[in-house]
Amino acid sequence: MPGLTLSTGAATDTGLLRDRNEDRYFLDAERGVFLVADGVGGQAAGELAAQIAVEAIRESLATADAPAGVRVRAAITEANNRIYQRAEDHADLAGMACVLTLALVEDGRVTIGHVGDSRLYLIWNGAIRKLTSDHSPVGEDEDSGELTEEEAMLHPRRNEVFRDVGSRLREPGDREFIEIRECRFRPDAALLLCSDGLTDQLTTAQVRDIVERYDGDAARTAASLVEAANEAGGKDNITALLVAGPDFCNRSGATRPRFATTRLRRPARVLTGRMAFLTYGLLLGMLLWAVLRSRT
Amino acid sequence: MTQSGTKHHQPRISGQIIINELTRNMELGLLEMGYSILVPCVFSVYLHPADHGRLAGVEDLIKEDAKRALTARMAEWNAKGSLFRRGGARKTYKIAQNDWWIELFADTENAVPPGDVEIHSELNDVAQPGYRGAKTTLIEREPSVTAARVARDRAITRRQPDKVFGEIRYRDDSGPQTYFITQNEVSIGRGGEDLWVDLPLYTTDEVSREHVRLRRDASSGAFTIVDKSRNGTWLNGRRLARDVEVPVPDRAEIGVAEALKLAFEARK
Repeated sequence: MPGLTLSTGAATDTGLLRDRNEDRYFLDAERGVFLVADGVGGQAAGELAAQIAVEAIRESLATADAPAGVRVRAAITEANNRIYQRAEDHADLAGMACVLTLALVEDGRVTIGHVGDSRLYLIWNGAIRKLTSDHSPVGEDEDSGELTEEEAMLHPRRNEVFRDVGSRLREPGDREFIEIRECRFRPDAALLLCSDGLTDQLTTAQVRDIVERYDGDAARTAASLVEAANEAGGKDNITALLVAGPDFCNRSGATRPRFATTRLRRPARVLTGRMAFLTYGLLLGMLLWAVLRSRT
Repeated sequence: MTQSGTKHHQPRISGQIIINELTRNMELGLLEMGYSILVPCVFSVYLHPADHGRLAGVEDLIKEDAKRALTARMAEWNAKGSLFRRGGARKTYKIAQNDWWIELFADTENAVPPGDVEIHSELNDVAQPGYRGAKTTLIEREPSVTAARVARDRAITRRQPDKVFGEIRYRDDSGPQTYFITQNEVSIGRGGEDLWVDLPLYTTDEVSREHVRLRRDASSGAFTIVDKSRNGTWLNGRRLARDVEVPVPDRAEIGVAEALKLAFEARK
């Protein structure tokens, strides 16, 4: 169905400071369904919201048959309303919600449905592009160029979101709810879905550098991303899901500039040093002398 | 589960090692010209995170000491008469800037083992990665930090408050995009494995790897454009001659090959 043989893999981790992992992901390479959900809400509620979202979206996309954009909207709305319903029924779950990014890869195209501050990146030809906007005060400032990426990463209000899945009932067509984007998926491109735990710790360029070391094992690349975010502080739950096209390959060797490379134990400059030239001169002189002598 | 990589003894990192390595890198990065010899003056030093952490408190002192060492070495070269060039006009060693720039970075990607130093140097403060200088490591291994990363790390430490000079809106195969111009030169194209462009377009290969370049005159704030492509660039419907720089109005539509259009707008 997706029309491409995708290499996919994901990794998730609680991070270094949190007690529990409220991130969930889902991947179905066969159907081209990729999802990262990040739970919001106290106690176990955030975790549960993310879990409900995964189930609802999986079920919804398995049955529906309509244009990709419509199905993505329907699936996210279904997730939203299920989370809301569950919270209505159980007072202790009140306010639970999640943010999520869903990618549906079909026939060389990817349809992205997105709510909140998780992200989807497209990596192609040595460059990385963020395809989702951040539905958060800080993210909006960053997207409009008012904050730099570094400033945004350090911003105290980093965790507030404008939009979520589950805090109130929604219709698929609601404004200010689901952001839909379509993008061509080239065989030599890769997609990265991740929760904000990754991008709060690593800059886009750092993310790209790691993704470019991809060597055919998407799960390993996802794991190195998570590991790097943990090394950089691991302040939140971290999830990374990589979808690599069949021709997406390791480019890290090639992006390296061709500088002079030096080592501590470098080869002695036997042939080009100052002494070497002296030796050349001596040899030449001896040769000349020998030639002249043999003539006489 | 980290392996202790090499069986040779690994020197415990010290300020002296870093400074020696800096001088060695400086020597290797020399650029000889007609009347002078340019010495690299911009150094990015990568250390293992643990080493970096250990030296964090004395970073400034190391930099100070290193600058003295580099200056002394350069003075030494300038004082010493060359054995073979006696009599002739002696070339002076000099740096392209007023002062040395040295920055220590923690290597966050497990590329630099404990005890090792990786140094990237440049002759001058160029924003683009991929130009001149020398990369060195202490222990026998390939330098592993990419040029793009050096450029980015440097950008982080010396970031001036970013001013947005203009924006470029366009729609490529990834959908609608906006690019904010925060530097005086913006290269635009498909980019490539070994070619960095500031604005990478996700599009067909009708678009050249570096297709077009925008420049901003820092004093007047005026933009110019120059076509670098095989399939051409159009400014407000008029095709540009290749490699000829022309002024850009404050609002302009830039056609890139026949593949896509960029809406450019300068901000005053």
